[in-house]
Amino acid sequence: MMNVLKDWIFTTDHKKIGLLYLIGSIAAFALAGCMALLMRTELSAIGPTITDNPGDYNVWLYFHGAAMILGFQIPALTGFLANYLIPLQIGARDVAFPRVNALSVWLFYMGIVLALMTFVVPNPPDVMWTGYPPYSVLTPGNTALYTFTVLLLGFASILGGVNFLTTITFMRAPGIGWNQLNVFTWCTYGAFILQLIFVPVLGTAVTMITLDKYMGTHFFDPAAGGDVLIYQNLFWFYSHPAVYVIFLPFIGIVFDIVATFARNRIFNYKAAIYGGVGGIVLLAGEVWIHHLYVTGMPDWIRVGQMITTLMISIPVGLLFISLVGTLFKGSIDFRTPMLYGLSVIFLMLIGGLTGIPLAIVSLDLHVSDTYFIIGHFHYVMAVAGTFSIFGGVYYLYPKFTGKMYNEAIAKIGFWLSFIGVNTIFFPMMIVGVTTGMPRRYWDYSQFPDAAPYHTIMGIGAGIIAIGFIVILISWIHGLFKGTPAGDNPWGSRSLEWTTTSPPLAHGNWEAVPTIAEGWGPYEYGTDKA
Amino acid sequence: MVSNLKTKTDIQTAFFCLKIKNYYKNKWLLVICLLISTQAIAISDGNVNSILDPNVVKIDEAKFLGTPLDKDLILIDEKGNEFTLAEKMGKPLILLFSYYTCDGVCETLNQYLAQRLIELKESEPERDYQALTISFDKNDNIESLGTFINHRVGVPEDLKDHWKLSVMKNPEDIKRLTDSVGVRYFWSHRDKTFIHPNAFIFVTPKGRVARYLHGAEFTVKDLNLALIDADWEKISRAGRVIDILAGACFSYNYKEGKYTLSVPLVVGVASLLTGIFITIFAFRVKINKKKNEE
Amino acid sequence: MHKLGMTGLSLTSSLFGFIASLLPTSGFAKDIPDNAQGFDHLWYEVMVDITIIGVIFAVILVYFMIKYRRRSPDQEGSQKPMSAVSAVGWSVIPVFMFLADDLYLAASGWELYNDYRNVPENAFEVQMEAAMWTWDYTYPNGAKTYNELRVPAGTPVVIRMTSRDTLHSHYIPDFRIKEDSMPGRVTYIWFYPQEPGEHVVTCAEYCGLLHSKMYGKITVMPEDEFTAWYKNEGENLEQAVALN
Repeated sequence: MMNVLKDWIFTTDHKKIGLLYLIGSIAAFALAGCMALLMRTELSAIGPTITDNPGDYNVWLYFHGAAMILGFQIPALTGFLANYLIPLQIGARDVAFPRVNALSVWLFYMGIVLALMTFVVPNPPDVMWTGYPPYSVLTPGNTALYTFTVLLLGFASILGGVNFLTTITFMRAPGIGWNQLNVFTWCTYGAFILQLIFVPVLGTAVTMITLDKYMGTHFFDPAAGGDVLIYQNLFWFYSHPAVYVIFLPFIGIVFDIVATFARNRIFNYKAAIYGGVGGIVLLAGEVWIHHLYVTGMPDWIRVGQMITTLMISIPVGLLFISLVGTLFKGSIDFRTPMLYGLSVIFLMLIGGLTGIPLAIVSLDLHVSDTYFIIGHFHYVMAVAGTFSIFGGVYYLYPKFTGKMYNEAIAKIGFWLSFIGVNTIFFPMMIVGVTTGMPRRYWDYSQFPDAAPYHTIMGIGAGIIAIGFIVILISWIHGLFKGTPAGDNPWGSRSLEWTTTSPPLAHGNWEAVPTIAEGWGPYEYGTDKA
Repeated sequence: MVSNLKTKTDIQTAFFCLKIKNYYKNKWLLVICLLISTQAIAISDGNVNSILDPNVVKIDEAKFLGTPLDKDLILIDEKGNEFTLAEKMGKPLILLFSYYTCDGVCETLNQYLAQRLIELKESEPERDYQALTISFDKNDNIESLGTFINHRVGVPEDLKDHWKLSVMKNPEDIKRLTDSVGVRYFWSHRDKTFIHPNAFIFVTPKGRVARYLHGAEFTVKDLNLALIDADWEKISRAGRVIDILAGACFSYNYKEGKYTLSVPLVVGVASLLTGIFITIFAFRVKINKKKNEE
Repeated sequence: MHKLGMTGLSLTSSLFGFIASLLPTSGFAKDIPDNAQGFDHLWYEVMVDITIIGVIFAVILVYFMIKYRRRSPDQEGSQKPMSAVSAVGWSVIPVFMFLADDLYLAASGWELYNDYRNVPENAFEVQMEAAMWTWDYTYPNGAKTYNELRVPAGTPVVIRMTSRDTLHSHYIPDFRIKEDSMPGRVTYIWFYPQEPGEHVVTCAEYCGLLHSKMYGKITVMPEDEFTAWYKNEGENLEQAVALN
């Protein structure tokens, strides 16, 4: 037993590290989900419901936001999926720096432990995941905990970024060219470029608030020459690209899932890669002002960035056309991963299109910081991201366990979650735009019209909770009761399915895979296998 | 408090302190200031209260930033031409309150403004600003204004069209205007002197207070940054873009009363460069290809 | 070809709209715009726009899902590799269609934004200082109110805002307007109350413990009632000063 534990902790195998990321991030998801349940229960009716202390609510909300983004989505996508899939998709025996990889997963776990301290320390942080000063400096809450959580997870990301950029650039198996890479690999490549460029900015920004709070500096104190707005600029300068750090890998895995289950080539591959992924990487750093539309930035910046923000629709649109076009003349099999993949397209449609009014500065003056925003980003980032992570887990499940999950249980879990999220997040958008109820509210007696919607959302939260439990059951059930899956249960042509299930612990293949002339991960309907 | 001032020396010392406190932040100057004031106390009757508290006419900046000026007020220049404040809008405006029988500070401040404006090369008077001096003394008239211009200040030729010295047509309006921007002043009967703040007020093209600079010690750089601050909402011309970007690197320091480098921004940019450096590094690491092929 | 023509048409028309909105409009005498109405109008327009896009995508998606479902276990997709021409076509045409829509939306968004930012000349100005967790209003005559802003119907009101401690956001849902208030900076919003009535004003930027309890009301009074109240407040204030 000790040996097994030691083996997992000190492992340098990218597959085990990937699974460690998965376990840690799912735990973070479960915990942050519990916070969401508490919040939705609190809000299900006007007036105090389960706590009469708004401070409790603020801490739940802080933990929900910080843990979901920094502890679940980014690690699950750029930690679990990237670690597990990328070396397999490019035919590498491991990542470029396996020991650095191990260090980043340790840092990730330390970050999780630090985040969990929220429930232990006497004055837990209540600064939301954004940590805006002056509140983060004035609050009695423990802002340092927030800072160091961000720093640890950020550092893990930087290490991961260097590792994967190098791996993808230099370690592709002989014969795999840039145009033969899986879309997921390309997307992760783009995501890590963004992560590497922008994470240091976030790191310095959160460090400065801690210095302001504990060391008496005045970086963000206007009375002493500081400026409150600079933090928001620095923060969103990272955190908007961070949205794409989440978006790119999840749309990438959805591409792989859709192509596999439609057994079809990617529609207009080059437009999706160079136009879609490349366009997003180029535009990501020029749109952050749309988070500051209501902070009194000069008009010319707001209008300029309204245009760049709207232009994000161009690369995203290209990705969408590719994704939908991949179904054209396909052979679609509605297995659980495909259900997740297709549902992400629908969720992204709702979430992405509701981003358009938010990009328009004059419309944002009303809906900014209301429930409309919450609805929008939960659709586009939270739910779509989570669904693609779950889809990815189901997709890879036979690969990393060697066993097949139970399709019926998995589908029940999917449908419960799908109904649940729509029951929560669609009413949110309606509440936001009709009543104007702002976000981060512990109570809403000034908005009596919002009450029925919140009751519905409370029910939706319950449905999701049940759905997630069913999903967990299907995963655990498969481990013990699953039938052997075989090496390539989906009939995929992608390289990761040419290994055994599970792949060899060291080196993934017996020998470096040989790549046939004209091979591609999506060459369906031909004889080139 | 002001009426307790005993001698002319007191007033001058107080004035000097006021000036010093606004102009210099260097410790040794404050020490000198303190030394002189103690001497002044020694010369007078030794009553500590007789020293003028410089804060008495201090402008509560935070309260008055953004205040709109009454644009209908009518002013008269030295030739007797009438104009309204509204005519001075459309470009950032540097506003200075003086009185024209003043012996010393007002003269210095006006001369100082002229001097700095001549040195200011980044902003051009045709496009980027105009200046206006208004008397807050209801006894001032065209004659005293003319004397002040001809014998005391002298408007440089280049600035003739862009800097007006003026008196208010309707003396009752004076207090309304000064109150609206937080400028308070006292006439000290004993010393025949006005006690008033030495503030330059920067007004946006739409006529709102954007910034205060104090005393005759700001630099040309501060002057230019304050003008950019006043015109921050819109880019007035293409050539201004670089100035505005450069201006973003400095933020107004309320404590020191001048523009200081915005450290968070510099640190942020430095960290961005670090990120780019790491990215380039990631592409350039030499890895042991053999390890992969093992 | 028809598609291309449509794209060109919408592109040029939106470009014209865009350029037209750049031109200064201040030369014309304009009525005071009602931004809440302007918002509702633009919102409706954008909703129609995105619904059309969404429905097109969704219909195609559902159609593909039904038409191309797998019929035998070994069946594979039969999409052919793309020719270079159609690949370019499928990239360039969508890019211009999206760009056209973006520019069109940006132009109409900007028009409304100008109305939001250009305060009418005759606006009644009130100063507001936010603090944890109250709104403090100061009127031009020195009168002060807390958490209740009384304004006359039929006059545009501009609020000049700053904050004593942390960030707040003065949000009036009924007038479709909010803007943050911050220490060390001045921001402003204006709105145009036309009918007497009461409106909620609430804080939209997280400001700590009682963020959700930081609300007040905007009371729009008939003009004569307001004038009477305002005068009375001013006189009370003068008396208070005189007494001191």
